[in-house]
Amino acid sequence: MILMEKVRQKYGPPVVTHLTRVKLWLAPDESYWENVGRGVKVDAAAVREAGRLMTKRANRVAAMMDVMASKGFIFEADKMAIYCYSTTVEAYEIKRDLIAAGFKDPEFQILLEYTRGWGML
Amino acid sequence: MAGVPQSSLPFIKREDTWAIIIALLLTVLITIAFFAGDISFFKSMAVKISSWSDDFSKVTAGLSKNPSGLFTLFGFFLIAFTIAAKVMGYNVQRFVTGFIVLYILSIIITILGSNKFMKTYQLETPLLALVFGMIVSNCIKLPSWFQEALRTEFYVKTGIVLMGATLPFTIIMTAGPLAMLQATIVSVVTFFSIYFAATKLFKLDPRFGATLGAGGSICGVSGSIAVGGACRAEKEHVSMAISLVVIWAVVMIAFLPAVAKSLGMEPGPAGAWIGTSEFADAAGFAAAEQYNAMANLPPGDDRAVKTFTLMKVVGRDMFVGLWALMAAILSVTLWEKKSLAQSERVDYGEVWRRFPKFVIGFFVASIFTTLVIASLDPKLGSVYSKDALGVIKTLRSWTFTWTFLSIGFTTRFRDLAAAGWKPFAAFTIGVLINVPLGYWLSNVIFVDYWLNVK
Repeated sequence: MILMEKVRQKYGPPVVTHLTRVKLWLAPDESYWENVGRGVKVDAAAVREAGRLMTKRANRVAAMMDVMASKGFIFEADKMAIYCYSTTVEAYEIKRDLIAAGFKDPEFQILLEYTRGWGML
Repeated sequence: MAGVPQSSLPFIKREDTWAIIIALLLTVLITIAFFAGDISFFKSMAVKISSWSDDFSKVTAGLSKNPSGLFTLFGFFLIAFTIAAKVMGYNVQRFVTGFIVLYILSIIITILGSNKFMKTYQLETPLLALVFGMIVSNCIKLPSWFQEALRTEFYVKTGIVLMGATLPFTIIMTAGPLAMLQATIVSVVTFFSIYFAATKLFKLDPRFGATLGAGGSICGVSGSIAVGGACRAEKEHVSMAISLVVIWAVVMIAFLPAVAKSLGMEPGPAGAWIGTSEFADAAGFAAAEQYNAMANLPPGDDRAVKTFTLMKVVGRDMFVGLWALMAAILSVTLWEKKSLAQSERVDYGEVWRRFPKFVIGFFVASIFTTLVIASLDPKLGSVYSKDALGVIKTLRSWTFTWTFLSIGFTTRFRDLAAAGWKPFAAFTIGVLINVPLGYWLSNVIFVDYWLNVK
């Protein structure tokens, strides 16, 4: 591994570059509204419970963002999710760090894209 | 836009998009010119270099019959590629300068490759381009402005879409399913050979094993990148897998055509064998064209290239998305010892995201020209095939020559040398299974099908 890095530093760009992307969806997995059709009553208490679940999820997302911010990730968002990007931290590294920080697999989704570093076949 | 994954880019900024646009535009323009009754402009672009021995005047005489041809050919592709380069975010000035040099070199290489003395030593244009490029790039540091024009994937994708225009869709419909069957057999056997060799024999990480397996069984560098990304293999492992793919792909460019010729294989089965046992599209086209040249096939005899395309593009490349999805599921479940409920969500969009979009252009081009021919009476259809499609074939050859040169110039052995012996051994086990299996299926089991591809 060290030899490969030395070779690359001396002779040019890497064989492959990467983009690690972590998707953190904003909607909680436990959805109060999914149970509405199964006889759960829609009332003020239901709305407060839904809000409690959403707040819980938002706090989890923010905590994961804190972990990734410390690793240099940048963030984008749309209505449904936060997207966290890095071209320096590898996918297995951020997964290891998120698990070590107490988060569970179903709370995030990691996508990894590799690109040829030089115009090879 | 260097380093940004193609699938993350807007559609208009992707190589696949521009390969499709340029190749389809050329096909449509040539067809329109044909129906307008004057195809001379495009015929002049379709420059061919005459075969020669010690009399260079044959070459100059041939070129002087079409004095503007080389300039028209250059002008068209320079403009087309430069527009694409601008939109895709390349450094346009560097790309133009680099392409000028690449074009001049391609003319020189094609002239040399047409020489009978070179042919004696099997140094036909594809191999000559490759060897020349490798020698130069491994002896001197190439200037960055030249590297900007070394777009192997872009040129080969343009060539593949042009290839589609010259391949009747009826052949794809009849031979395509067989190509998929044969390719699936070989891909599955090769993938698991490499994977189990890597993980059980050499105790490598399963993700690394899958990345190596993908490189050796699906579509080379693209396969390693797709599966490596899907299963979150380490960057170092993906780099090593790519290095091994490139090493073996370059070896196979020389090995497969030479063996096919020495065994007296017919072009159809030879192309199919190359399609199963070559590791990358660009290298495979080099091998198929090299076979054509070594077997002294008459100009226009495309059987080996057709069967290679069917096997590689239709049989293998198209399914990289499915392999990536399988790897993604395995990576978050089996390899992490978790059930689907306990694991990360798998993105089923992998299948479409990893699908090589240029293959759509390949099919569209084939359907287009097939419909054109079907709409004409047989006599006029025959003239269209000879004139219009003949021009496309020649232009396709030029895009492949730029591809072969780019392969050579971008194959740097120093970077490839640090792959490690265990991954090399695992990959080689796959090669040793893949090559004879591909030969047996192409030349024994399914030989009749491949012989019928004309």
